[in-house]
Amino acid sequence: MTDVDVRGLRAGYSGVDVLTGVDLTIPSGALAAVLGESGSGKTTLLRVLAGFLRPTAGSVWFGDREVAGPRINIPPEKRHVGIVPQEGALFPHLDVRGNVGFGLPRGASSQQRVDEVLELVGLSDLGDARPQELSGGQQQRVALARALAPRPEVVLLDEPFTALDAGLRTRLRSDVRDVLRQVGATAILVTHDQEEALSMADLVAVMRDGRLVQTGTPAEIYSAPADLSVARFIGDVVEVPVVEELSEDRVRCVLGDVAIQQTMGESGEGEPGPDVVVLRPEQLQLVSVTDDAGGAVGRVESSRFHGHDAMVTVLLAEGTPVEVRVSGSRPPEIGEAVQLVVSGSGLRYRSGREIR
Amino acid sequence: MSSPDSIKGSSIATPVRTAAPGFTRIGWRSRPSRVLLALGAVTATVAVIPLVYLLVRVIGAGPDQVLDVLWRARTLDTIATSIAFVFVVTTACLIIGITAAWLITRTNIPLRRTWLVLLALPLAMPSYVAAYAWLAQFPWMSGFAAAALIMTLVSFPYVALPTAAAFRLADPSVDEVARSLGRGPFRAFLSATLPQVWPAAAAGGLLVALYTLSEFGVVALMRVDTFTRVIYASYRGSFDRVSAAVLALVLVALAAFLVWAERRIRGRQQRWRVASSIQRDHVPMQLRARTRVVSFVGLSLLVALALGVPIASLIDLMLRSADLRFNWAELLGATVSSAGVSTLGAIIAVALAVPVGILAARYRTRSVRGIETLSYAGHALPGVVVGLSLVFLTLGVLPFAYQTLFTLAVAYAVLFLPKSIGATRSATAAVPPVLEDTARTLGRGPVRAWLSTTARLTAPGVLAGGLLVLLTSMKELPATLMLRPTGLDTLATELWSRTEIAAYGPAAPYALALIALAAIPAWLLSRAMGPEVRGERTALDSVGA
Repeated sequence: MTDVDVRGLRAGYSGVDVLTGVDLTIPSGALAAVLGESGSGKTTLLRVLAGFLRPTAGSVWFGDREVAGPRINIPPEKRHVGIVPQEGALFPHLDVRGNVGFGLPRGASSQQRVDEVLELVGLSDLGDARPQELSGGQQQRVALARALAPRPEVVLLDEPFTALDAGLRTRLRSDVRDVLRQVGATAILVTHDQEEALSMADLVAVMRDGRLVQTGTPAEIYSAPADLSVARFIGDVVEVPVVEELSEDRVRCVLGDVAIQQTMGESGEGEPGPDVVVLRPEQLQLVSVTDDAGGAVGRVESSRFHGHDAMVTVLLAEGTPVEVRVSGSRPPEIGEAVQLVVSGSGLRYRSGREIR
Repeated sequence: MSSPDSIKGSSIATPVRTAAPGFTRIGWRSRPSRVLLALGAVTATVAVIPLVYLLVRVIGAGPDQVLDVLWRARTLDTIATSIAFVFVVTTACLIIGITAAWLITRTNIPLRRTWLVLLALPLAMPSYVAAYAWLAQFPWMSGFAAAALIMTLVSFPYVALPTAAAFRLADPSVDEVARSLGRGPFRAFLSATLPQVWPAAAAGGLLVALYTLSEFGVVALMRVDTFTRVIYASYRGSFDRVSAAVLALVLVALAAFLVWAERRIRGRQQRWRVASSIQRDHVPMQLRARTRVVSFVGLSLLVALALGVPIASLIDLMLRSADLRFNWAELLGATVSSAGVSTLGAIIAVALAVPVGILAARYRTRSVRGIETLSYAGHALPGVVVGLSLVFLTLGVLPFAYQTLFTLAVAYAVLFLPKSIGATRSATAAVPPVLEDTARTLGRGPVRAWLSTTARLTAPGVLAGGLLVLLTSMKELPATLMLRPTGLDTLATELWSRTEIAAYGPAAPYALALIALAAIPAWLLSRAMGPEVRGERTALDSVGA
């Protein structure tokens, strides 16, 4: 199969580079998510990979084949790339079979292949339907089947679940992931949804301002975000300033003494102000004030109930609000006095060097 | 994959009927009032009178005589010429229109925004004015090719504008997907992009075909024996009523077929739109330098022929005839009498259109659909046919009405009723019925509730429809020639009679006045086309005469 290798890639529109140096290696058969906010350049990256946009510098390799580089730019139709666009973009004038078979040569074996992929995406009985008769989720399944039919080496998915409603999205995500596993293609999913990236991908690349700020497994990205803004982007965070450094791996803050698992941002690119300790809300536990747990004391200010858990805002005695995720059916009452206990260790982010 | 999304076709909306009548959106009161239906029936009757009377005459003549006329060599010649003429003009318009639309929407040709305006402008040139302007400079122009050239130059925007809109609306990802599935740029265009714009182009092409089939001025000036010219000649010359009536019926049958085909394609076009809320801009295709130059020169040439030549010709004529003292009183007189009879026609049209427009916007019963279809008869009735039929009718049944202002005004009303109904219908559809219902609950009777809500809100749209009828009537030529009272001269007939005797110079002011008249709906069109392309079809309808 084919690994994807992007080296020093720069690309953009009308002379302005949107991508300002992207390096990314995706092992063969893996599903990589490129995660970024809108305008970060993730769709531009996808267009370069597909061959719709010529890079201004750098190169793209599919396996040992250079598809884009300083002297070479293979046109989209010769790249063997499957695309699943944002809203499916089915051919409105063709029925489902016509759409799925579009990339195949005419012939009986192609019809067989169409049946095969339709079954793969669970739409065997809708072959004669027209795109207009399909629901949004079905359209995306057809788009996936169409992309997979010619057995592409690389599959590109451009925010394919954004237009769907929440329940459908979850199911389609896991179905799509299963199908991609099954066919073994190397896949690149572009998304702005961190939950989608973390739940689907083998590899997550966080993109910001035209470059990748961090690449790693979902667990790595979640447990050790490269900087504060990545930390905030990937899930909820509890951020408190460091009051005193107790040792290499222990600091004091308003939550008490916290163990530091890793110190990030030694390069001096952090934000101004004091160093910051970052924890995830589920690392904090609410206990009754009467227990002698040695935690920081505060009062429950507000609580948002989500069913499976609740986010509780606790106003600490010295004035800092802290968000805590409380599982279970009984969230604390508003105004109740509570004690916050930290479990596990946090991350310490160094502040920006120029301010210090 | 385990379970496909369950409900097939769940995105198709079905009208909901709830227990609270009067407050649902669609299928609101399911039955219209009898008064409204009766008024609508009157409209439908008036609209089909010319057609019915023609039928009566033809049937009265007996099958032998009809067959005799049909199989005459001259009849078959006429049919062949007409079909060839329509085919050539429509094909040329499709090729030119689609190419031009693609160039100005999908490539990096210079001055893209400007081109869109320039390509819409020929719509402001009444076809026979263009024919006159060319003839004045090149008096040797005559025959099939010359007529086809001029017809193409004034008609290609009917294809180019909606196709350009379709190109802009077409989802660029569809083209990209086709590329990624192994099609080269040209084949991806043919198999993915062209099918998306084809319904718009084809509907435009059928409009061109319809207008070309009904065209009188151009073929008469260029001496091409299509239906309209032959019918007019047989009416003028021999008063051979049966053969004129038979030809007119064949013409109506062809026109009705074109109208039907156009509606079908338009319906399909709507069905083809897969819901897409996200619009991505197209990345314009980078043409090679030479292609870019050739394309630019080609478009320039097109605009020069369609606009430049007629306008230069008119200016030249004005300058040359500046010393011939021009009779301004005559121009003013023609304008006033044009406006007078056209206003009467517009009033009749609006009065007839309002009940049908309301019915069509609010109810979907079978009787309403029937009334609406019949009222649109004017769409498939060329001016020559309505003129001929009303001549026969007044001479045979209502001699006192022969060549009166009223008969001419009725002819205008029948011909342009579709414009007025369309305007009323869309204006009414835009007003939610719940407003009227609310007025009812606040203590007003049905008529007062309608007057204080829907009528208020739709008045501007209805009046605009009337204005369209007025402006179009002032340009109308063949029915006016046949039905006008002796001594009544309109702008169109003045231009016509001067051109016929090759008095090109003195005709120029009339031509300019007609262009000014036609420019108003064209201007409305360009506003409707703007950055948004909605309503482009109604606007096109409003320009076509």
